[in-house]
Amino acid sequence: MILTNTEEIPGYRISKYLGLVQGNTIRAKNIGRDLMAGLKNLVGGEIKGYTELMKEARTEATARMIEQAETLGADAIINIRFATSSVMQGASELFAYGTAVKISK
Amino acid sequence: MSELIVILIYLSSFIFFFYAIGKIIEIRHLKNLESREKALSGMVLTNTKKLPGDLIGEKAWLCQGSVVIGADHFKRLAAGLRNIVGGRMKSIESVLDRARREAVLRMAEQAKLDGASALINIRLETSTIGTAGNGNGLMIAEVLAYGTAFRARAKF
Repeated sequence: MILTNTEEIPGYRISKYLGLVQGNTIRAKNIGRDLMAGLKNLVGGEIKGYTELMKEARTEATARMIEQAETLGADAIINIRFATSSVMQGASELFAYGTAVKISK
Repeated sequence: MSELIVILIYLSSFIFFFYAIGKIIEIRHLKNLESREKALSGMVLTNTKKLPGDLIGEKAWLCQGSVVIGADHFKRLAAGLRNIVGGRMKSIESVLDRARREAVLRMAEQAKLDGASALINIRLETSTIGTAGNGNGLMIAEVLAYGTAFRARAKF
């Protein structure tokens, strides 16, 4: 599966557009991480626990998108976009969407 | 009266402590960013949709980098005061600026490691992920940078 956020893939021709695919996940921060983040938050700088958390969650959202594309029989997803929104205090939704396509050389 | 003075001294030393630590972290981070940006100066980074005309792409894949960053207590206090009168919040500007540069660097470094020579169609996204602890914190923000990494060669 080739993933890009451009409209074309160099070296390939897009033979069929299969439509929009998407994946999302909502994550809440957990207590252990929150405690460390609270301490770190006093002095500023990067909050590594949260960076990891968001990374994991985004990988999950991307995986769900890929899964959906695979059921459509796609070879690639183009024009991928990521969006993040906080749905409530302490929880955020990560969303990935793109266009599933079939490609040929 | 003397109790009030003691409380004031206690508070100000507390704030100064956060200011000092926050400042040290910030200066070290900025130095680190500068040296890493220099190391990546040969790489093509653009937010246009197509490769620069003199390059041909051979392989493309998605690449991303992200960072979650918080402002220190002193910055938060400064921003709170600034919020009353309005105007530029310089203390928070620098936090977000550092986060963006860090996110772009992480993305570019990962791409370079995987053998990319160009990164195109870069998008940056910022979102607040809420406040930590008791909720009086001003901000924790996440910055995500993503783009398409290319293994490219020159046309001629």
